[in-house]
Amino acid sequence: MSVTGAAAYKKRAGMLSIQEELLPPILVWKSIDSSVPVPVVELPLRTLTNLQATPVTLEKMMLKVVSKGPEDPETLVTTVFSFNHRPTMNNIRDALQQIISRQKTVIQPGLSPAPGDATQANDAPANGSLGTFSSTDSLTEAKLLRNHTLQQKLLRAQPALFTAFQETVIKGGLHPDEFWSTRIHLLRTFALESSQRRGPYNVLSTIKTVATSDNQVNVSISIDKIQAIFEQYPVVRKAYDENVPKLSEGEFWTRFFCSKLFRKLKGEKIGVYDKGDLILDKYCLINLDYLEKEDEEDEEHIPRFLDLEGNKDDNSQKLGNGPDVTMKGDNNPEIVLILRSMNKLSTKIVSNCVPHGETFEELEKEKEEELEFKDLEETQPMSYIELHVNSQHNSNSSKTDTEVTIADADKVDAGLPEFKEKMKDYFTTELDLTELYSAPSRKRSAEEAFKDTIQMIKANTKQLKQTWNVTSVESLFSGVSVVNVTTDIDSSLPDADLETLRLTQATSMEFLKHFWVNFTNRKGVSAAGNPAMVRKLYASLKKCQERVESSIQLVAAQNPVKPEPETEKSEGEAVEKPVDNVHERHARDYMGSISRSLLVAIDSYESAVKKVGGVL
Amino acid sequence: MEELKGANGGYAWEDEYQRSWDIVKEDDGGSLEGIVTSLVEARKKRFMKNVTPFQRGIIRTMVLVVDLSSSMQEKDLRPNRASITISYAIDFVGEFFDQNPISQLGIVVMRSGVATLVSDVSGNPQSHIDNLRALRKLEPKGDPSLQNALEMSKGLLLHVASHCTREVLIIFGSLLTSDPGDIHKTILSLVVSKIRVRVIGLTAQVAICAEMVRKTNFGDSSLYGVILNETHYKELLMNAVTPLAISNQSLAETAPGFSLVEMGFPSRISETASPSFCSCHSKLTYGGYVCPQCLSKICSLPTVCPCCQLMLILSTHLARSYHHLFPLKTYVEVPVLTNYDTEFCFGCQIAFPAGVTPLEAQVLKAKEEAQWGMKKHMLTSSRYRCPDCQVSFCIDCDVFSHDVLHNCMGCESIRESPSKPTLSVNAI
Amino acid sequence: MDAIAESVFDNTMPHAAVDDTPSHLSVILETSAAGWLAIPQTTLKQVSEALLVALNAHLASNTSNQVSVLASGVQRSEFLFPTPEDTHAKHHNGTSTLVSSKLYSLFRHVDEEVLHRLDAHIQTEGNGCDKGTLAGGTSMALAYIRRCQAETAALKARILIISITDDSAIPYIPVMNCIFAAQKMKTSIDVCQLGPASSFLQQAADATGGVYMDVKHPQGLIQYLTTAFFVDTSLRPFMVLPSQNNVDFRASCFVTGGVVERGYVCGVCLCILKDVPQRNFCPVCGSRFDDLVISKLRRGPVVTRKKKRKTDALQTPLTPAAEQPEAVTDD
Repeated sequence: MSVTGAAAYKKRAGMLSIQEELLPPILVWKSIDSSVPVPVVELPLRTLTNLQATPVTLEKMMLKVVSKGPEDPETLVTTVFSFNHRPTMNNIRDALQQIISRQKTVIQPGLSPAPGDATQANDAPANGSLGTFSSTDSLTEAKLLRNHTLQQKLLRAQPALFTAFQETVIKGGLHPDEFWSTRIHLLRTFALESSQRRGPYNVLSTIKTVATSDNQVNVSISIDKIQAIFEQYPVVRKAYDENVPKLSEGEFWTRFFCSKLFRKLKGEKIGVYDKGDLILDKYCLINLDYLEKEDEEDEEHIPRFLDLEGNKDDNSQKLGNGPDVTMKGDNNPEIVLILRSMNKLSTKIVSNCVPHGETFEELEKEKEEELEFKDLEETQPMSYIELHVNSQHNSNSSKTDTEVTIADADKVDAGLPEFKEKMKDYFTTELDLTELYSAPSRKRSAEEAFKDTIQMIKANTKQLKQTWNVTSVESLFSGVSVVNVTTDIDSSLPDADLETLRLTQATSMEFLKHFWVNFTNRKGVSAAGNPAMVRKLYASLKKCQERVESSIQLVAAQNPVKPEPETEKSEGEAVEKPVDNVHERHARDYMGSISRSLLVAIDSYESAVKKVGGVL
Repeated sequence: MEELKGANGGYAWEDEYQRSWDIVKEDDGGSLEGIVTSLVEARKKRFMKNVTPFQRGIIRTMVLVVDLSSSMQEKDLRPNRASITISYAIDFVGEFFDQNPISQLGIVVMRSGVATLVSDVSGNPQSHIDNLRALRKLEPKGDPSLQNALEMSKGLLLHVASHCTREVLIIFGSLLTSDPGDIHKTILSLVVSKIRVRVIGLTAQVAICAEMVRKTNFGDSSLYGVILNETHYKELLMNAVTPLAISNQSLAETAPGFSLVEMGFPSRISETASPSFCSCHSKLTYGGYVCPQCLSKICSLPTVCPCCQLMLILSTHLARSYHHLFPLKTYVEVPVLTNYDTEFCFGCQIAFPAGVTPLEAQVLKAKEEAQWGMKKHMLTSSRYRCPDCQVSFCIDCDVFSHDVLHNCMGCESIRESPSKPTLSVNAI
Repeated sequence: MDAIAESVFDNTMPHAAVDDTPSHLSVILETSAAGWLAIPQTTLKQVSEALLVALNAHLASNTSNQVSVLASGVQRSEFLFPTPEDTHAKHHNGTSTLVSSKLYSLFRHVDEEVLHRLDAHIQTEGNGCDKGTLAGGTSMALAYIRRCQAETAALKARILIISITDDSAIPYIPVMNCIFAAQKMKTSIDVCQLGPASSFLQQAADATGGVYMDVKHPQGLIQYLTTAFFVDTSLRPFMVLPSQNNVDFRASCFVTGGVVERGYVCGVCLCILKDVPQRNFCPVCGSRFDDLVISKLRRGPVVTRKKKRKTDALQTPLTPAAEQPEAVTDD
């Protein structure tokens, strides 16, 4: 198709036309009168760089075309055409603009897929698997532990984990497998999240154009989308394969999105006057069915089910004598084409679900099952296991035995009549309630009680800073017992030192964790466990103790306290009062809990070894 | 089949369509009181459930999958589906940990064709609630992918200990799912991994969801519910808080043998002089719970000790789940009589309505039919009796006992002397 | 008076706690004969006197305050006040016999009713069983509170238990159910313990924000009742309560009854056991345990030794206090 129009060049009348089907495509002006000095002006479209047109306000209609010179690409040649008819000029101007911008299409790096990649990726979704992480066995502990790339990715993604890793594995000497063995769930969730794929969907319907500020229209597509397009529309793939060496990537895609082919595949109606793309629209006319039916089997299967209702719908009697729109001839080819292409697309997407290799008989059986009336069948009642509880073994029950021993009954009996007698006496005379505070014995008791209460309150206020006392009223009434940690307790130590202590504590916790897991061996596979590992961890626990002590000393050294002047000799003795370093005391207190934990772990190992008669 | 017959003796669908507002008509005196109380009682009666004690999976691990696809922007639930779902989910998390304190929950979201982990599997309700609140800012878009969500849930539940149940609760608002592979294979793998799926649909019943629920629950399709309105939505969601009963079929398929779990019961210490680092957050705290095995200080229970991996709980946490295993028996309604032996409710001392002679009963029934056009009769004695101790309660105490208290006040308050046989009660 | 000013108190603005919401006080009085006879320092009469004064004080604090009293005996729990039949008023036409007639009529009404009904309750007591009815009394109190809260708009409630028996007479699960119900209803349970210390009631007070006190001077009970136990529900979050902080949270074994720090829980019926059961069956629900799980639990700590020894590992039961390691062959 070529756009033509009457135009004048150097005041000579002629015809200007854009010939795209020629090779190379050119812009040609031929004068009507062959006697002019320049009868023909040809500009290869590839050389066009710029276009200028006179504005609407001006009466003159002129179009200035700037192109690179034929011999020297640096020089620019300007050609001016004048028109009589504005619509013609607009037509030609738009077409030239499109061509120029197409050539200038810049592809963002990373967008262009190599055809090889496209084929690879196409295979994976087709066979219905989710990629490497879907199957259960690839998520087992063993595989995850060996997957070092995944581990590194996770470390990069989470800096806190990275610091912990650094401290324990690189500096502390913990084996990386041990480190990861307690963090398998982190690896697993990370693996799952990063390996997901999206299901197939109609790609073209999601591609939308975005208008930018300088009158350009951008379309953003990613490699995934391109691959999806190739998979769903083999026509496009064919077009790409055939055209890309000649055209650039960008140009190909620009042409594609402007072409009628794109609109047809999308399912939109194509008007007769829509501008399409010369090259790509050729592919509109290819019979898509022919392309795909190349590998199908030749057997014809006659279905055993007749859809009577469907046939009734198709019956022409309902619509007078005219058949249904899908059954008519080619009066309205666009509608039919749209329907056909949508159906084809849906079949392709659904075929991902249907397992391949199902025979025709199996498909028929499925259809038969579908047609059964399942709603009217009796539902199987669910039977659950009942819980029978033996109450005799329970010391907490409120259910009592039917035979209470005689001795018990006697015990209760004895007190009761006496009690009843006493009570009868009490409730005959009027009570003097003022006795409560007037009788001296009671007064004394009341004062004692008062003292008691005050003491308890005092004790409780000291412990007010117990974080479980400072819980909100809400959490008081919930089932979870929480000690509130959000409020930071002011510490007398500077922040940096606190952090050092914190880090040491966290590292020691890590080693303790591994020690206990291996020592108790509750979750291990083998009953014997790994005694050598336990021994190594025991040694590292001792090192942890040293580390804790050294960090306390470090903190103490950082905050030296001047010795008090009273450390003088008294009574002739050379008594040196040890410097009471407040900070050291605090640090030791803070690390109190971890020191106790280390101690108890070491003790239990030593006593266990002693019991077995082994040697430390 | 008798129950299916409608009031006219024919099929239920042949009855006249009953509009709830038609029932409410004033009686002679112009008061609505009588009809309102009977309606209220009728609704409360719905709380009666089957209460034989079943074996249930008490130690649970559940993954909550929330649909945040474009269909959740519909405004048929106010303000829109997504935000009401998140509010109900927050309530659900609170209730879930209230009733199942030793269980764990994880939250996954379906959006734009992929599944994203919102909250890791843990036993801390506050972190889940915070993550759900952050989810409000995320706009629903794209298509949901059931297969991706199921695969992710499967991965999360895979290495959970054998004594825990593995459950998935999906809130599904779309009518489609966009999957990268064969979802039937995924369903089969779920069955193999003993994961039970329940679905709450917001739009309509979707065949793949029904199949998923049926296959993973040994043929029981009752765990797939589609909501009728907001109240029903809340009801279905709260049903998932109750632990699942173990069916006989599942027992046959799995190896016989239940789990004994080792647990620690820590005591609380208070540190008056100086704080120390806690083992769970490495923060300075003034006290906490001390693990009996490794002496590390823990801030909140129930939890797994971060040091020695021993499960730590208080006995009160276990006690919260006892009422599922030893449920309170349903109270039986006392039939309408002329004379009753009780005048006041045993629990709250409220007065019961007086007895009616048969003649009066007839008159009342005729009045109901004539005036209010009701076919079903609402006359009730308002007395509900415990089958064990024969004590009568009012409807409010009945609902209170079954919903909140889980004790029968009569059985607990009356102990006969040893000469008579003791009353059997709802206890171990 | 000793100063109790501490740096922990800071100046806060007067809060909405200074509001006029009426408060409901529910008192549960234990009346087991054996229990009362075991306490020499005081008698039921003296305690009931103190109780009456405390009730009057509560009613005096706010015109819309309400009160209810229950008695929990060995055989029966019942309401002492309010009762729908109003026996005293019917029989005596409003004249008071047990309480001075100069008392304010509202107080007089309550006090007379309580005393008469208490008398009737004790006289009709019989013999019970080893578990008392405290759980029943608490349940009834909660039901009555629920009814009052439904009738009155904003009603705060709290429960005071005057207890004289120990844990052995308290059924565990019903009491735990009451505790959880009280938590849901935001009702605090205070415990005034005249008898031996009870860990269930300690847990009840701790879980619901109540006050637990072991009363050492029962003659001065009125002092306790009007100070420590008098704090209104709405004020509790802001006050330091004289409650015992050392709560014994440890569990008790279902089979032996001993204290359990580290134990085993049956996955089916959630019963707590001190040791792994000998024959792999749960003693309470009878379910059979998985052999592999049991063998893992019986494993001892992993240590290296020098000599090889063959001992039958499964026969050594584990005790949580001191782990006896199995001797494992080195192969």
